[in-house]
Amino acid sequence: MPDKGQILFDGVDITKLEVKEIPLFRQKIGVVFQDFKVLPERTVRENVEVGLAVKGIPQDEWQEKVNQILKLAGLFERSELFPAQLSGGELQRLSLARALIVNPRLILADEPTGNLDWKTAIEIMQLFEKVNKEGKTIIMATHNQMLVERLKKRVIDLEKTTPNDQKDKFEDNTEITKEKKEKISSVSGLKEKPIRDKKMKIKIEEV
Amino acid sequence: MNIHFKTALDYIKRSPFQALAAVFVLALTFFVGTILAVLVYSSSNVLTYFATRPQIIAFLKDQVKPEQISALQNKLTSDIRIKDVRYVSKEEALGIYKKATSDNPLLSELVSPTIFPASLEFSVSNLSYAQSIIDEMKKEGIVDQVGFTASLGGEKTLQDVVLRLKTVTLYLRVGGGIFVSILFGTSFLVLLVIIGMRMTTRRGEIEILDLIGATPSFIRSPIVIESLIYSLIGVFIGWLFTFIPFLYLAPGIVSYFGEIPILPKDTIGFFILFTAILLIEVAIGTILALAGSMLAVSRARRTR
Repeated sequence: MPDKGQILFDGVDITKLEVKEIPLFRQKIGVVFQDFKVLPERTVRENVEVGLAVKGIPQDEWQEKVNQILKLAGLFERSELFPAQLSGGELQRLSLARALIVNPRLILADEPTGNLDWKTAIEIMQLFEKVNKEGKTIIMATHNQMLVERLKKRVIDLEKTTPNDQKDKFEDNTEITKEKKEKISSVSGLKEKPIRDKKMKIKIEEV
Repeated sequence: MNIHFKTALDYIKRSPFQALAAVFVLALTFFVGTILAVLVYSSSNVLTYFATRPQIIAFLKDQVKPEQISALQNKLTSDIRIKDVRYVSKEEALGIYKKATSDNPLLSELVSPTIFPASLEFSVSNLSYAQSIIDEMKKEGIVDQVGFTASLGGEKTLQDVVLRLKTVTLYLRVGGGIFVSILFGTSFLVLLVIIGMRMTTRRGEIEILDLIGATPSFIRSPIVIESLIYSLIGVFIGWLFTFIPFLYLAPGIVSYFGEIPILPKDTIGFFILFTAILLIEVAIGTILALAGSMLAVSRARRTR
């Protein structure tokens, strides 16, 4: 929870949600964790199905959706394996597949490459880019500066847990000017407010 | 298959000995519970049988007119304390006497119908009404004498028997009830322990489900279903282990006790009795499982 400021999602300040509303909010976003957080005693397919079950999607709609996501994540051939039989990269892809299955409006990725080697991390990032190009907004936290440089995406730099600099860059690493920023906002529907006085306000609309 | 049901089955498969322990304890509880239910039914029936068995016989005066008899008979029939009112004429009384003395024809040859008074015979719905009804009958003008008969040898003996039966029934119900309550308590604790262990071993999974937006009821469902599975299997095994022996022993028991309705005499009645017991036990088992699992889940959530 932030010390100050708001976190708005769909116009709702999520820091003020009641406890019983939290699960419903979580169902709207996909989360990818550094330590994967997959269910160890369920198969790849079942891990993805859990996402649908949690959201209350009818069981007869599962197969098609799951197959589609597993193919996207490159796990279709390994769908009957258990997590213990997967590599780190596959586990992270599974985590992403589970996040994507509910068609979230936003994906939060908490150091998704933290436990992966460089080559696998690149593969995961390629998958993230693929998902991003399909229209999903992804907010990713990472310590990996090289990965950030490689991705050439918009960056919010946090130091000592507070944002001290904002580096909005295009893929060619050029700074985003005020005019360009407004243009981006009008195209993507993403309205972003500069960070001032160690306060952070993230507002997401029409993602 | 429903994901919660499948998850519950997976848990059971992963720790079969816990599952067996739960099912055995519950089966034992419901086995004893079923036996107690049958005993309560039987003792209640026997008690009712003996309590309503005694017949009051109102011997009528010789010169009573048929319409007077009919009026009294109607009066008795409309009394809710009285049942099975029957008029016995002098001829019928002789017939009963002859039948009773059939082993000694000489006795029956010496009597004529005129020496036997006509009578109105009836039972009481509860033994406690007997004395007041006898007193009322004695006041009736057409009644000569009132007799209180029973196959066991008269009012005093019968009251003793009924009193003794009541005591035995009371002991059976109280003692059996306490015993079954202890067993239910044990079953409840076993369920609590097993579900508590399940919650502990599932902690990681619960946290993950929590993070991906599972509602508390989603997280709780497999635990509750698992608990219900243990309970309902326990109920069925316990019931079946009582039902099968009774199914084979019932004809012998019924013929041994003769008129005393210790068990239903017809097959349909027998099945209705055991189906009713099963349904009650299913309801109790469901409550036990729901209460046990909910309590275990809430305790586990508090300690998280």
